[in-house]
Amino acid sequence: MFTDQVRNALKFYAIPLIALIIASWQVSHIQYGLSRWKGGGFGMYTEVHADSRQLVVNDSLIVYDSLRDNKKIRLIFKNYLFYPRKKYCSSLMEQLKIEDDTAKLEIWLPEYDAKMNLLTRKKIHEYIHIED
Amino acid sequence: MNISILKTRQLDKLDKLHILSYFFILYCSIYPFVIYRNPWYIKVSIVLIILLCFFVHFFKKQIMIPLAGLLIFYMYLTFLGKYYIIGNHGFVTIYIGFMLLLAHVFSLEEDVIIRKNSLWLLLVIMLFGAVQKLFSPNYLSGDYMNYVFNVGGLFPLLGLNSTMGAYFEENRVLVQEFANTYPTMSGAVRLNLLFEHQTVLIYWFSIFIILVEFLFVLALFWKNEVYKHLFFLVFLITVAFTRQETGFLSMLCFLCFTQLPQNMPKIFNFSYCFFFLGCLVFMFLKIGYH
Repeated sequence: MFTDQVRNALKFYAIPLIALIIASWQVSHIQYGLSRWKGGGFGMYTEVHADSRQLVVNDSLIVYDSLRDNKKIRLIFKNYLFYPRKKYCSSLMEQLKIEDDTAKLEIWLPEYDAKMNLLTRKKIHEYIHIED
Repeated sequence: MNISILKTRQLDKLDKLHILSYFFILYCSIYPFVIYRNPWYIKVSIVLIILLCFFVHFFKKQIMIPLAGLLIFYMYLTFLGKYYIIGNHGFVTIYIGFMLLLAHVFSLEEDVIIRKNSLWLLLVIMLFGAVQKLFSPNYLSGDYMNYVFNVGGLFPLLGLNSTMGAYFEENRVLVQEFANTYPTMSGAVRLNLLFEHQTVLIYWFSIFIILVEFLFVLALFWKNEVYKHLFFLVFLITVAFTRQETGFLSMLCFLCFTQLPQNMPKIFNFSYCFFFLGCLVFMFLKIGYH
């Protein structure tokens, strides 16, 4: 009887439950820099798209278009841009051929003020990476 | 007499699951084929899998194995190393894929499995969509929607008008130039406003969208199926005109279609199928956002 109930619950509710867990996890990680657009939390159209974020490494702007030829670096770049995490820093430095022991990484996001009719930018992430 | 009725019903149920499975296979085939710049061997593999699906279905009356194969292939192409890059409809596709597999495995309860899973999936999607908008200061102040409108991202049909199109284009150039400059706190750019009171109108439009999304959540539990599906169809068509999000809309349409009971007028079946296939055609032609 109990196993039947569990089986039915899994059949009917397991997939939405997984969706709920993934979406809740996404919402809880927005505060750490994860874009609302990404990560399965259905937060599309709530802020400027993650593609508009800008990455600055050691005071120089990294433009996505300049990385077009290298698939691996594009992947690492976007992964870091959409959700900045420490584990991508080393590979990002390596791929960008930055040989400094320390690197300052910043992510900026455009922000539009409708009342003032001004498009500005705000810094949403800053991290000092020290190579081991 | 009873047996023949039973057989007819069984066939109807099978038909719907098979239509849904084929829709899913079509979507999963078109998406990686068209959207990504995949190498030739990936494209050849997708074509082979589609042919295999048809072959296995017609000669073995079996669709579950090719469906599972395509789902794994889709997951490999879209998700491997790209969890934080893929759009939300990528997640919905995976949920739907597993739901269809579950329905095939427990084929005696396929109707209930599909209806219940889709209902709660729709609830999660729309509820999170609405709540995230409610908690985003950029959205709630109308700033974000004004920005999208200024660069011609809303009501794309308005862009047909040459005067407005020129305004949007000018704004897009301004935004692009701004994006290529080094970011500072003091840097700012002023966009062209299309008409007076635009800011207020778009602000109320943003609020209206949140209300409609909450209404969608309530509509999922309406008893009157005709009103419910009329609302869903109007919602889908309106979103398509507001923003051509063909990828996400096709998945949303798929889920709404699964909620349609068997005894509804055929026009509803037709409308959902037409809308879904329309989205796929737009995706294939690379029109809209996916």
